[in-house]
Amino acid sequence: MALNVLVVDDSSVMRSMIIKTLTLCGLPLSEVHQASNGVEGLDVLDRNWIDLALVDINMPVMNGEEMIKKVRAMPETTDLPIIVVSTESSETRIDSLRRQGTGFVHKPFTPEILRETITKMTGVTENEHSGDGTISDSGPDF
Amino acid sequence: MSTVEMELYQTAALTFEDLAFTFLTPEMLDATLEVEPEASAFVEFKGPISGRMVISVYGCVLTEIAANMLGQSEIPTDEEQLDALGEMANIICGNVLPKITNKTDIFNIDAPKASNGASVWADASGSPAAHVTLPLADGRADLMLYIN
Repeated sequence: MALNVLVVDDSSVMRSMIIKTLTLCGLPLSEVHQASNGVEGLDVLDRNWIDLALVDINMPVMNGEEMIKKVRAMPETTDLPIIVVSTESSETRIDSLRRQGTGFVHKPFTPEILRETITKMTGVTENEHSGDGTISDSGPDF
Repeated sequence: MSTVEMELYQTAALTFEDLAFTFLTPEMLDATLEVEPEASAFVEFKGPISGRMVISVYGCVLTEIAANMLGQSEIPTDEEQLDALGEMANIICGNVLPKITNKTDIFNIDAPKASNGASVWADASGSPAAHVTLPLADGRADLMLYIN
């Protein structure tokens, strides 16, 4: 199964790093969407089928925590695999995020950690058939 | 070096290595000691303690940091270079705060602000609680942690 992925981070450099890591990991990717905050991320989810979301926490406009709460509250996306990719180090907040069914990758991350977490969250491995790896846009979807 | 400065130094050094593949060098270029910063960025944080962390880079390190983070040989745009420095500040700050407080404490870190030169943090007043310098191959990075 090739994955449609959404990357939500207010840093365009970090989004590029994550996307490059996804590509280098050999994971089967179809479309890769980008958003720079939670509001934009929710809009992408509203307009596209997404198999996996990688979400930062500290972002302007709407942070990742709020976005994840809204995603879980919507029937269409309540079971969406979400991986938080963040500098967050508070055990309290990380436990809270995990209770919402998210994976967690701490920044700075290694490609191996990101790949392992994606495999764990989606069950998809690099051995599966690869899609065309289309990047929907060089910048955010907005 | 105080405990806070030690934590800030080690966290920053690891972040430069892991994120930007930029390693510390034993010798610092004299030319980078008394010049205007190449660029600066800061993040403000609120929680059990509040304040801001500032990073300034001197010499010719900004392009390398951004290019390494992006994994590209082309020179990143000015916007990408400042974004990279801001993200560096964000990650260092997010990692150092639990080391100088408690692991269960919750902090909210604002989006980083970055600019060329030193103007971005020129309004920082008072003495920093911690100030460390990282010697890099083509310059240096100064990090200052201000606590309100």
